[in-house]
Amino acid sequence: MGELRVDNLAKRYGARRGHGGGAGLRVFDDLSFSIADGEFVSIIGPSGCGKTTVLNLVAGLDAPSGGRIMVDGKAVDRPGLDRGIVFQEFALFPWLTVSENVAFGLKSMGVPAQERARKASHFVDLVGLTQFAGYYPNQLSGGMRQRVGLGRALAIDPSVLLMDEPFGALDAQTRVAMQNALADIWLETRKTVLFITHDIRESIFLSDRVIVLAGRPSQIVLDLRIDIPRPRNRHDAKFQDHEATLELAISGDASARAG
Amino acid sequence: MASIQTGRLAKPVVRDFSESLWRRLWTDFVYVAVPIVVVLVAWELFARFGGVPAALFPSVGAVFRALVAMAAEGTLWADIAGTFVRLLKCVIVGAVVGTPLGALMGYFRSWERALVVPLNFLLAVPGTALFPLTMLWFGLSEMAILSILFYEVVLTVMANTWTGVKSIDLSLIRAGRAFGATGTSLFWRVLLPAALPSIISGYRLAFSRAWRILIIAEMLVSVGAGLGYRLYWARELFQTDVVYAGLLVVGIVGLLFERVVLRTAEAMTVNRWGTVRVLD
Repeated sequence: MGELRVDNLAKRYGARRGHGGGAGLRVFDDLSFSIADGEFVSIIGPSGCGKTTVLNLVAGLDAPSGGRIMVDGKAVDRPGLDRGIVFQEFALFPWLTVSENVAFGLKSMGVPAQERARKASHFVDLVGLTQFAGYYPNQLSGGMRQRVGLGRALAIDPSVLLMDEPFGALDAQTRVAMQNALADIWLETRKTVLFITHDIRESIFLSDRVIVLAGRPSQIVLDLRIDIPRPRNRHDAKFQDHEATLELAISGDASARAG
Repeated sequence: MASIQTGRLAKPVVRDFSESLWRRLWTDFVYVAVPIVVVLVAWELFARFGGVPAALFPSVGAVFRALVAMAAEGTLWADIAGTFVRLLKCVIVGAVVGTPLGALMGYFRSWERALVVPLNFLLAVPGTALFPLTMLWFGLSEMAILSILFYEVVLTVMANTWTGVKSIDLSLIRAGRAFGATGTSLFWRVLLPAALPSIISGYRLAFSRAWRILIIAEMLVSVGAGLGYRLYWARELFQTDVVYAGLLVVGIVGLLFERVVLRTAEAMTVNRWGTVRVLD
């Protein structure tokens, strides 16, 4: 199971009395969306639209100013092992090997050592790092590091997988390779995924639905279903239609603000 | 992290031992040996023809004879052991006290605010400046030395651990929390290992500071055995060759310990942790 519900979520920063009317920065006031079990949903939007903030709130790494977040009917108020996070900056533990990194969450769950090693090796295989299980993160390339990050998040068998611009720090070719790898892994695991990105094509390639966040305070300006059959082809005609629609939704907001 | 090297996949490098290694060892040897030989030759020439009395500037041979005599008598080993035992005692006890205090300062704002002023004040007071005080307290005894060394080690270790913990990559802490490490398990599984390279370089720094102070301290207090003690008494007895031999031993022992033991320990963590930092 893995269902995510976000209801009337609000986040404000730096609200101080007697300072700019006391409002501070309103990232969003009233954000609601939900992700069904096994659904892959991307949030895209211009930088500063608060998409990473949404992920941090769902992750429980930051506290909302209002509203609530439910994972499988349970309210989120702190980080938890029902959510697996893949960080943009990888955030691997450099003193642990690839398989120890992957097993980190399993250890927190109290999985016995033998079982842990077995599971870790399964997920190391799944992300394609079988030969590198004993390597340390600083011996790996950027793409391989993020594979470790993905393995670490999948290993705890989370209800929801949260990915914060996971390929944003990679070069263009590696990014495409990682998108392909993630699409394959997703078809195999069918996890519920909340994926944050600023890359329109990436969101179309991977997602069942793409949510466009824009404005300030930001709101959902488009919730687009991507009905291209998987495995997907980036040169599909529908692909370009969606790309145009999403581009318009994002730039439409930009011109609205400029006007 | 600007230090991420993408696209680089480190594989174990298989060295060609047959030729390149021997060649490399040979060039290393030449670079080390040539300056030493030059200095020794210049020294010997100056001692013989420089017109300086042997009592002030003994020949190379005389210094080595003194060294051999010290080794044969056993005083050399006793002195090295004496100095080292003092150093180890203080560094171990100092690290045990200093590391947790520095860690508390790094993790808890309240500890930091309470200790930052005293720490910075004490860091500005050189350990050697406390000699008059410790001599008053403990007399011309072992404790007068140990207390100063302890003081220096605790402060150095505290300062390094504190800054080390404060500079932990925040994303590692977030990742630790996200993957179920909280409270004490966050401390042992994430915070401590993440700060380890800074903590170890603090130990290395503490060692080299303590070493400097210790040699001086042993001159001021009669302790029976110790490299500084030996140097001082050789002067009192006008054994110039022993003074030179003692200096040689201080240099070699200090160098070996610093380079071989401490630097290796630091290099191991730095390599593993992937910090791209050039070791001095």
